Amino acid sequence: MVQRSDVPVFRNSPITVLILGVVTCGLYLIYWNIKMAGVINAVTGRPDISPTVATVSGCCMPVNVYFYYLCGQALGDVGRLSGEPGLADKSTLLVILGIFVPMVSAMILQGHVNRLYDGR
Amino acid sequence: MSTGSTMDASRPGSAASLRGFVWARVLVACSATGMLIASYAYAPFVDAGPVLCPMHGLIGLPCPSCGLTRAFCRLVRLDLWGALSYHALSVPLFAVCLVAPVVCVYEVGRRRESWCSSILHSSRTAWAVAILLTVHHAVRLGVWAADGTLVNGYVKTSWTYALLRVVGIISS
Repeated sequence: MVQRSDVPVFRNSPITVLILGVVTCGLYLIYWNIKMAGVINAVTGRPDISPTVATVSGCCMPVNVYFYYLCGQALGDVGRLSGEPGLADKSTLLVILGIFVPMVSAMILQGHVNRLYDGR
Repeated sequence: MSTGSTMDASRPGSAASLRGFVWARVLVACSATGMLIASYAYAPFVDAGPVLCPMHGLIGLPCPSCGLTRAFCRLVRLDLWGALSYHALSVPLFAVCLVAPVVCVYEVGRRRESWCSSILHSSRTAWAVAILLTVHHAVRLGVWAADGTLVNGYVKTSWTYALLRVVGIISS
C-alpha cells in the first residue's frame, strides 16, 4: 500500500508550469514530464510510465497523448492518497487538452498532484 | 519495448497481468507501424499541409518536435539529408519506430521483457534524451531567430497570426 510519504516531492505552482511551458517553447515540459512520471509511478506503486517515454512525450504528439492518458488513469490513485475520491478517471479531459494545449494538461495535473503534499 | 507493464509475464500470476503485458506491446507495435504508414501516405502532401503543431499554431513558436512530421515523410522516401534538415533527431526516432514492432513481437513471444525495456526504464537514458532534445532545440531556436525563420516560418504561419489578419489587427 503506497503512503503519501513514499511519493517524491514535485510541487510547483500550476501557473508557473503553464508559463514556463509556453516561455521555454515546450522545453520545460520535457523536464516536467520526467519528474511527473516519477511521481505517478510512486503513486501507483508500479512503473507505469517509463522515464524515456515521458521525455519523448514532452515534445512528440502521439506519445504525448499516451502520457496524459496514463496520468489520467493514475488520478484515481492520486485522489485516494489526497482524500479526493472524485478525481478518478479524468484521462479523457487530460488527453483532449494534451492534444491541443499540453501545458494546460500539465497545469491541471500539477494542481491535483500538489494536494498530495498538503500538510507535509 | 516497454510501455505500461514491466512485469515478467512468465511469472505465475493473474491472467490480467499477462493481458496487460500483451496489450501494451500490441499498442506500441501498432502505433509505431501506424506512424510509418501515415508518414508514407502523407508524404506527397506534407509540404502543402496545414500547421499541425498546437504550439506553432497558437503561439507561433516551434515546439521541440516541430519538423518531425516533415522529416518522417522524407525518411520514408529515403531522403536522409532532407530529413536531417527538418529535424536532426528524426533519424534515431525513426529507427526506434522501425525496431519497436520487432521487439514487441519478440517480447510477446517470450512472455518476458527484453533488455530494451531496462533501457527505456532507465533514468539515465531519459535524462540523456532530455539533454539531447534541449540542446538541439536551443541551437535550432538560436539559428532560426538569427536567419528570420522564427518570424517568417513560424510566427507568420501561426493560426493566431492568420486570425489577427482576418480580424484586421495585423495588416501584413
